[in-house]
Amino acid sequence: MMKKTIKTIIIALVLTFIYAPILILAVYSLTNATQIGAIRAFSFHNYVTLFTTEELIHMILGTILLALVSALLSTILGTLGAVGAFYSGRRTSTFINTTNQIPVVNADVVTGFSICILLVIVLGINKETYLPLVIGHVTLCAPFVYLSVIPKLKQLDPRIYEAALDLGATPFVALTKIVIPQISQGIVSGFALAITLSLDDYFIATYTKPSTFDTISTYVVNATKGAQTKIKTALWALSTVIFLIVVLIVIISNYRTSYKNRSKGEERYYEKGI
Amino acid sequence: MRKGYDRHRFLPEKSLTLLLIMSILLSFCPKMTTSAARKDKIILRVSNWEEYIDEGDWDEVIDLDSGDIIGKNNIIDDFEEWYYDTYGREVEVAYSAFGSNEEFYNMYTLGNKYDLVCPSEYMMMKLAMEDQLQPLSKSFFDKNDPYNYYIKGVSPYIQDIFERSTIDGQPWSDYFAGYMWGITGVVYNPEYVTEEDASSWSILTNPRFKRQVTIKDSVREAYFAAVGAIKSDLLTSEAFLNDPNYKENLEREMNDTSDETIKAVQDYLQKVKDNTYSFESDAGKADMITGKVVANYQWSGDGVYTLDQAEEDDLYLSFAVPKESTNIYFDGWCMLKSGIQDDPAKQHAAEAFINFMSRPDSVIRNMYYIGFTSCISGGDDPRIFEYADWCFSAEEDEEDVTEYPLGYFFSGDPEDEDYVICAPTDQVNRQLFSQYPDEKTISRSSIMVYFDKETTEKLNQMWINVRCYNIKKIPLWIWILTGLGIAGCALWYLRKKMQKDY
Amino acid sequence: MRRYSFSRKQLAIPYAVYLLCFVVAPLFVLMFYAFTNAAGQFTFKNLTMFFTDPNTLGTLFYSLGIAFVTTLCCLLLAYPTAYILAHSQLKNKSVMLMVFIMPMWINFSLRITALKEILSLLEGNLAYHPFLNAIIGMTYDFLPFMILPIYNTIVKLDPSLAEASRDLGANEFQSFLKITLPLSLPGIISGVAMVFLPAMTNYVVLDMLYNSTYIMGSLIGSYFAAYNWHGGSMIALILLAIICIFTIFTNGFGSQDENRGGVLL
Repeated sequence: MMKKTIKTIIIALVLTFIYAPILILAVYSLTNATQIGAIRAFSFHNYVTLFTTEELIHMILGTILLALVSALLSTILGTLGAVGAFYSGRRTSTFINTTNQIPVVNADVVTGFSICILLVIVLGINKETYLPLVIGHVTLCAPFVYLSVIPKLKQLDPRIYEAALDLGATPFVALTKIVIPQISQGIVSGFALAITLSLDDYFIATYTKPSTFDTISTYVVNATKGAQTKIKTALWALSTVIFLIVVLIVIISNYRTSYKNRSKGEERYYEKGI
Repeated sequence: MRKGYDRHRFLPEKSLTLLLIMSILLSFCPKMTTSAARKDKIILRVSNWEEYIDEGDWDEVIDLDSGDIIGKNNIIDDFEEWYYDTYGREVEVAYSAFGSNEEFYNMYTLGNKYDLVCPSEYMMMKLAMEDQLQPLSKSFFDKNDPYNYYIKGVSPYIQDIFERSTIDGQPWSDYFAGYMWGITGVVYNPEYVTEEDASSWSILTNPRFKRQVTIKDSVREAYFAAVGAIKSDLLTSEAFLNDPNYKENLEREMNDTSDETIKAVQDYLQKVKDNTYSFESDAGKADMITGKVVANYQWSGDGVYTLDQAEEDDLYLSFAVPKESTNIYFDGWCMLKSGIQDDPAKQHAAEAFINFMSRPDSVIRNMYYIGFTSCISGGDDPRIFEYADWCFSAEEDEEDVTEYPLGYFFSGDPEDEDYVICAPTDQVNRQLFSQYPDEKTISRSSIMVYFDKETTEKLNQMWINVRCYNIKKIPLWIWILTGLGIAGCALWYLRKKMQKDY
Repeated sequence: MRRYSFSRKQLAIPYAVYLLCFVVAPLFVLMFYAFTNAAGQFTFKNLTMFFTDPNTLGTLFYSLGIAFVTTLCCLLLAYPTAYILAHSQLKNKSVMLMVFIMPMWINFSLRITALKEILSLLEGNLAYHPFLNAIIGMTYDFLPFMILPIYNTIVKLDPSLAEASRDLGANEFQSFLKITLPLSLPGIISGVAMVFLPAMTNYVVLDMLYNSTYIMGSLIGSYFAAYNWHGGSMIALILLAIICIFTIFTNGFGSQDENRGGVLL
């Protein structure tokens, strides 16, 4: 009993640590304060701004679209790379493994800056094409997709693939019908991680984004000499909305799994039996 | 069973992929439509400071004698409409913003393309010296053109400075059209800080305000303040003040970049670092309003904003200008050669943009929205002075009023009685003062010129040295602890290896 | 058979080409700048300057200190959390895990602004505790990166191992120390790798929390911002080299594990 209390306390403390600032944002998003720290009165105006300001909607959609596109590209690249490298000879896989590690350990400032120099200064690509930005984000995300797919490949029983070939499947069919489904969990988590990284990035975007485009983070960090706080405070509302969506997802999936769990025992047994 | 299970796992991915493909397709759609319409449209790439222009959507109407002014739309949309109505050509402004002169220059060298930018005067000088600027055309200065709002409205005081200051023998005004100007000073909370304390750069190292003062996170701003503080005695001495060449001497002293001065500034800023709340690039205003700090090194325009905001929370702050000297700065428009590329249509649009921003109602809208002071005084148009009067003049029944002459700015004649505001006395060190500093204060202002490459490098290095952590400052116990830690790790590693070997 | 396996190998080509173009090539660009001066001549000056200037060395030390303490704090918070989560009786652990990860979807700059207010409420004047603030901010920002890999390792551990040790007479603490902890080492190493480096370089967190002292990231950034690409590139390379040494060193600890990075998710 005692131990359970301690466990609950630890979890509660960590959750408080993580969520307290977000709750603060939520509270302030419902006031007309222009700075955190000075509450004036209750107001919904941040939410109105959030859903009616064109500039803001562009920025949010742009950020999300960037995250989706770069996550998709990095998932494709990273997955292919992982599958290919896993079945390649030692030299190729070592090369990919090592190079893959560089963006992971490199500072984001450096990654962003060096890609910008290479693409814009050396190759003369216009930033307005969004190409440097997408490449920058893919370079940031793809290695993490790679890293989440590789262990799934290691868990894979190689005999299944061979069996499929023996039964007459072409390599392509065997790959899409056998290998990909087996590693899909790794792909999905890689994709999720890529989205998270892209949404949270600031450094790469500052160096590679076109001048007229802002992601949420470059906007918040760069709003320096600013006198107007309309958009800044509307972003508090945005984070509250994200927070609510998270809560909703958690509740729904909790409900769904507890519903599903009743019939799942059988499958588990089956799975182990292979 | 097995099949069903697999399909179930695969489903969310499929729908996700679909969604993605759709979103990608969607993302290409607007681009295709814009590129089709682009043919006869002029695209004007404008870059300005963050939040340095009216974005519209106001609640309040400015009811001047000459008519009401309100910002309904974004001023850039209004410009596009106005340009089409006036010149019959469509122009599309691709507007972007930067946080500092250095950031702009960095982004410019790293491949961003601009036609018209609004840097401060020293950055403009740097660009001009690198031959990056397109001179303003002759027709821009033609006072007979009714649409040349800039040249008709620019303050004589500002125009005088722009014509007297030169880069390689050419006056600034050839390249540079003023937008906003101001001075640097100290926003302070009179409850804790006396006016006397706030009126010296040495407030930054004043131990009474330890960790309660903020300073700008920028080499040049910090350097100016530090020079002012170091040379405080000289700058405020009678002999120096009464020297007939006071102005030139002041500018020379404030722009002193000799090695000894740089060294002294570095030492001084080190002290500042240990005494101030922070080097801030954004938070200073908010911290002033929420009361985290009691004094804040600020641009006068941001000072107005801070004072206004604090007033809404019933906190009454003041603005002071150090007695040693203050940095007067000008943000203005200049055209980049690499963007304009001798395209007359583009240059015309760029100059029209400057003119539109200098039209008195636009000027008032921008000033109202951002708090800074425009370089435009209005010329024949009385509205800008009316606006100042609307903002600051005392109510009829107010008793404690002061006459505040602004002739120096509006007509070039300091004694001009047409341009005097009867303001509540407390405004003399509050918003009115930071919006339009009085002539006496302006007389001790100095521009900070652009330093050559070598000097800039020295200053940057000095700044990095200030901000870095000197290895000699690490206390002994940390060295010992680190040593022990490393030794411990090594020992453990060795032991583990030995265990493995046996 | 040979033909079939060949086609699988080919899948690696796009990614290998991509890595070559956008990871290896930029690295060479950096090297070019690091070993030249403003006039484009080959020089070692940037390198020697870094190791002779007490300020840059001090900054290196300071960032290592921040990164070390941050990583330690993250570990101390994340390990119990991950352990409790992985061993909980909850029906849906992955959803619970999501609760810890999802805050990342709200941009760090927004979260840190809010954290700042909480801190100033607790501490009063923030400026008196710059180091502490940096640690709290970084820990806050990077904690999910530590929880995730540790959780993923622990949850995969075979519970029968711990049971067996208990059967053989170990008490709960001993069995944790001898069985669970060593086996979860890959997760810890992966988490450390995810936290340590960003903690040395994410200077925006420091800026927002009023720590006016530079760390490696801000040093590199300020060189780039001051148009000194040569000095910045050199420091970036030095940092990369240091991190590589660290990685090799930590690999030595967890060498038996193959899928190191893989425990991320």
